[in-house]
Amino acid sequence: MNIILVCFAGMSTSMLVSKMEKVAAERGIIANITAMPATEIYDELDGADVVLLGPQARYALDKVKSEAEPKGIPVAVIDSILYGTMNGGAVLDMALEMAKK
Amino acid sequence: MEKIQRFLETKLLPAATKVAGQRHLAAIRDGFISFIPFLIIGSIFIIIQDFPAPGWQELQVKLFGEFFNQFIILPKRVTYDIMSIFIVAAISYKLAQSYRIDAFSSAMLSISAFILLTPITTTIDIDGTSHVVEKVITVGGWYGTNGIIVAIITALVATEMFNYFIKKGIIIRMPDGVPPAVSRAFSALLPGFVIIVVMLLVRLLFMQTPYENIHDFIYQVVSLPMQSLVANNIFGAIGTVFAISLLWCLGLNGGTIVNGIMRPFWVPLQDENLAAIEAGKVAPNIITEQFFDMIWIGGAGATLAVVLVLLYKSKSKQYKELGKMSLAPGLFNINEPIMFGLPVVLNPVLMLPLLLGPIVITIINYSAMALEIVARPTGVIIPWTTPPLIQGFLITGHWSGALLQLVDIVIVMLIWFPFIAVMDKKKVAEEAGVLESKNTNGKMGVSS
Repeated sequence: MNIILVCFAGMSTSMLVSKMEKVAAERGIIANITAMPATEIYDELDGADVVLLGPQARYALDKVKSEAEPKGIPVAVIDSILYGTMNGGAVLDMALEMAKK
Repeated sequence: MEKIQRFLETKLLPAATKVAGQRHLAAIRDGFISFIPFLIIGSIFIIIQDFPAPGWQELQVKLFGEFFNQFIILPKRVTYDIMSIFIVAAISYKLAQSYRIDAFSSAMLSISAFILLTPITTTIDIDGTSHVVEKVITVGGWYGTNGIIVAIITALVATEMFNYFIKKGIIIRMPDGVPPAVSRAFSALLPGFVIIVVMLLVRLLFMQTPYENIHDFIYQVVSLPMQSLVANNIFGAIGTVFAISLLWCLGLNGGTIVNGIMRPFWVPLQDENLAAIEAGKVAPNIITEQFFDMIWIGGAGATLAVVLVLLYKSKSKQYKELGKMSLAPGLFNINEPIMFGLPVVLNPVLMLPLLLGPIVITIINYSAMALEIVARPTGVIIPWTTPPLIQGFLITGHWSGALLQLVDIVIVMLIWFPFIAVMDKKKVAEEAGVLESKNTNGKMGVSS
């Protein structure tokens, strides 16, 4: 399962990535989670199962959606509080839930 | 308070989101961002040449010889000093990409279009008389930071034209069986020809004016007024930090959005400072992008101070934990945990210190630099993730820059202190309440 997290420089999302990876490992879920700047999203979407945006990159939502949705990849913005508290477990749940649909 | 919050969420947020997501603004912003690593590379060599240590200049000559000074600066010459060529290509590429058309051809065409609009002669001074040299692309001048506005306009116009032709299908089609790479190159032929002819006509048009070329026109009419009226003064600086902080209050990455618009006007100021420092003079401009990097200690809103207040003063478990978690990223100027975790975003109460802190230290920093108490930004670009204090030292090339950041941290801490104190008290009571109810529940369980 491939999850892409998008923020401005891919820095704060990379913190969340390591939290999510830890939870995934604990639960025995095989997930490939990558953090990425909004500017590089064009080339990297293929093969993604879910795309999640950091709340501060919400402005890129329409752009990312227009790229991802034709490919059938669900896109959503991460809840502010979950993001701020770097709640890896809850964000992972969110991604898994989205991928199911 | 609720009114403010509703206004933020229903009026300001959608408007700001729309502006930030606008296709052309996004292309300009992303184009610049893709070039910043090159500017950082160039800056590293400027720092080597001008390292702020006494005696380094003399030592350079002694160790490596007279030529070294001009040799080690070459990486700056091929990044900063021809940046308009890179910028026109980068912006065109990003815009074409957003239209899903051939970005490479579009970028190449935009470079040609840009050079077509730019003087290819220069005057040099030999023994007091000036000579015109023909057929040169200069390092510096219009090809450097002074040509950026024209580079942006050219990229947008040329790419829009290219897109129009491709989308309308006005292209030369190759028969089936021709390799796609070949047919793609030919599909750029017709729109390319038209773009080049149009640019040629624009050049001709400006040759009839006293400005002689579009660069001089844009420089006099747009760049200089924008620089002096909007960018390079304290009101512009306050406006800039206010706008960035306000966008962060909405939970949008304000720095990316505002810097994307202001950067074209800051870069020439930066370059003037570099030139002055190279010539051994005091940097003339206070406002550069790095002036603002120095304000955002610990991230936008200067929130490293908030982390420190949380760590030292908060008694609530949740805030202490948040402080601990935010310290490491904060030292690299990343503050999403504070922004979304405290939270500051869409919080009308904390909006006040978030807006106030940066404005106060902007006024202090500007004044200190204007009075030459603190050294001004030299114009070097270092990654925005450079830890505070080291950052101030490298940006100004002087220890006073580091000291200034330290003073700023203390000031912002004082501004936030009462806010955190009130919130903390409330939170402690909340936490105690939760604990108590748990305990009583437990006791009841035992007794029954």
